[in-house]
Amino acid sequence: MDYKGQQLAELLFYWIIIAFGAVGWVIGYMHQDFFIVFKFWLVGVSISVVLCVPDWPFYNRNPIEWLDSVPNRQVESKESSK
Amino acid sequence: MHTVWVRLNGVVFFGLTVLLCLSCLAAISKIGHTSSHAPVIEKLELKSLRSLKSHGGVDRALLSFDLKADMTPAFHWNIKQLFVYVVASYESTKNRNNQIVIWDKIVESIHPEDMMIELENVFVKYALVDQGDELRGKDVKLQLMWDHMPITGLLYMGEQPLSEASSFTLPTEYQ
Amino acid sequence: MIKDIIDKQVFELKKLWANKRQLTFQVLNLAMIVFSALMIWKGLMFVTKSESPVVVVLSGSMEPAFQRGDILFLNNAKHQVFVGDVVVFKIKDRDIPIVHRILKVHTDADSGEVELLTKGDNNRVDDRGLYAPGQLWLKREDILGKAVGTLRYVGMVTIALNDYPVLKYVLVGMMGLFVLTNKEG
Repeated sequence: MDYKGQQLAELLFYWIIIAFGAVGWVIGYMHQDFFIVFKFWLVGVSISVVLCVPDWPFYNRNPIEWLDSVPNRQVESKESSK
Repeated sequence: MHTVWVRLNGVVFFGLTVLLCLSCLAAISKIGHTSSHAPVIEKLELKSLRSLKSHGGVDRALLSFDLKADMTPAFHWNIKQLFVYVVASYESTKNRNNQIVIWDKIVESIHPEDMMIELENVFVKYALVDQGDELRGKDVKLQLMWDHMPITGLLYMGEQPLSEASSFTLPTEYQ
Repeated sequence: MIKDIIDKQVFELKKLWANKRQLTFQVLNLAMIVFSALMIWKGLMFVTKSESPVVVVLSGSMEPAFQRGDILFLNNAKHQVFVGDVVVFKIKDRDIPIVHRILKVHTDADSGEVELLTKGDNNRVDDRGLYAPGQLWLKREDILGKAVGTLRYVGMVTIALNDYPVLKYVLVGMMGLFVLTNKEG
């Protein structure tokens, strides 16, 4: 997944879970039944898992453009700073 | 969000956090419910005293009672069940207060048919037993109490006001 | 794939060992987490005046209200307990805390001390059979706290760890490894 894709995935599951949770909560409150809230929540999380976890093609539309490698270039190796 | 594992981890734990918030909100939404919704207790009184004997060195009374109460108002979406019980209380010279549960019942929100309790001539589940031999002649109050057990959040009690509790006097002789 | 993950972790650990400053940093990081958790726990113990402010329900004796895997928040700050309270108590010289309900309360006329009898909602008989031989009543000091709140299923992890102790080592090992080799923060 490229960077834009990762951002999209994160945004998507945030909003999906919150939306399903909120709607479920309101409907559950009206019926005074918490199981309704739980069901909506479960659906929201399941959709998020299917939509946001696997590496779907629409997450790879902005691939990183690496510079061309220059042959025979001597790279000085320094001590890694971290 | 660079690997499948990180994303899965993110989704699952964010989901759980949201669920926790929803549960807490549900609990908060029902603060103050009891002040406007109290169960209706029509009757709780002694029906008949079966026996009052000395049993294993201590006084023991066996009795039956009538109970008519509608527990439905106490339920809301965050209540999983109500633990309803009848308390017999009296004073003795050894103890300034004795409170004994003589009967209990679990009323679950998934069984609304149980919420209306109408029982006549119910025998006690747990005998009224004194620590010594002081039951004879005592005034005993019968009070209905119940414990709200939520899905999430704080447990709280409710009880029939003591002023409305019925009472009876045990005989002065064993029988 | 598991082998790759293990190889990667081993490589990270070797790199860590080579760089002592990095190693110290990560160890201190781990220590911070452990001590923060400890502080929160001790803080809770102080506020609730209970030696175990949070317990996991281990048995089914209080079903259907409390099921195995639910966690209970306890408060021991109030001295008085009432009939019908759900309390957690320990029998002297035994390790396992028990969560049951108070069935009988006798308050002594002179001292004000109480003698209590408990029973699990789902049990047929009261707890006398569980008490120490010859013990008929519980005293206030046997009570670790009154249950004031509950969270469902959260304690499932503790039950799994209890039933399969090897998981404890696996879990702690994985967590320690993750914190030591995690470069963030």
